[in-house]
Amino acid sequence: MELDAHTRCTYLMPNTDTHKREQFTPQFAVAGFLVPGLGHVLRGETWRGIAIFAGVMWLWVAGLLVGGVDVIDHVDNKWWFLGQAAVGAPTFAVDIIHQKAFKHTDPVTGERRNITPDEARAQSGDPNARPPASESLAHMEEIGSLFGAIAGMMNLLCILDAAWRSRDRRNRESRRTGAPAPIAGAQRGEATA
Amino acid sequence: MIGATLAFRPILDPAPIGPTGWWLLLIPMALGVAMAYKAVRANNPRAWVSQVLVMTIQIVVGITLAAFAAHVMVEWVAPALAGP
Repeated sequence: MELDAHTRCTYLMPNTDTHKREQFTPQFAVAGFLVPGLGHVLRGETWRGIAIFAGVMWLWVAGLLVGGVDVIDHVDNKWWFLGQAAVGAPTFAVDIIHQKAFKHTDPVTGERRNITPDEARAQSGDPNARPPASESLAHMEEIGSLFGAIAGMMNLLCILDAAWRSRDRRNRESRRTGAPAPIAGAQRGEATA
Repeated sequence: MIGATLAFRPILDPAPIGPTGWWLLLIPMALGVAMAYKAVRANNPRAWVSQVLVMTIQIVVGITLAAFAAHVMVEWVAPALAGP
């Protein structure tokens, strides 16, 4: 393939400025871990950050709706929780609420566990009482957990992208494919290569 | 089933989807994966929308074909190999 002079300079010649800007930037990774997409918003790619937030939170909220709050549990569901934890602050917040508000201490074993329907009825004296959150079982637990874990893996991908992938590389890819410049900096005509 | 549906508390209880409809959750799952993945890959919002739709369809069709292949293997090929 024949490359024009500009493309040769962009792709083949070492450019210390570009390489410097492609170095690991942990502040964007931390931001992306706190709120999905925030890392991209802070680095100036607002629409991309919003799109990431929409995609990751769609999966995460769908997992909660399908499996219930019981699927986010670092004690009883710890292997799934490892994947879900990559969503960041939302997962840890829900896990803390789950452990504190929806579980009680087993009088025999001393372990924290979900309140059963019988215990809820006995505690309230109401024959129609229900536990604050129901145990998730079978397909709904598996699929709810899977949704959350996929959300975590997708957010991990986005965190890595926010931390390493530079505006400059995106703009070079955009020029190579002929697509319009993806970020505001390039549209304003900032030097990228 | 009706009673269980009326009693459903979103997020507090698992969804009352039942044993026959759970596989339809493939569609929102494929949509979410495509939204997050194409957010990293697309060059602009307009391209993101179109690429998400295409990737969602690709995932759903791919998984459906894989499920059909597994069905053929388990129901037809394996019994045929096992013999009478």
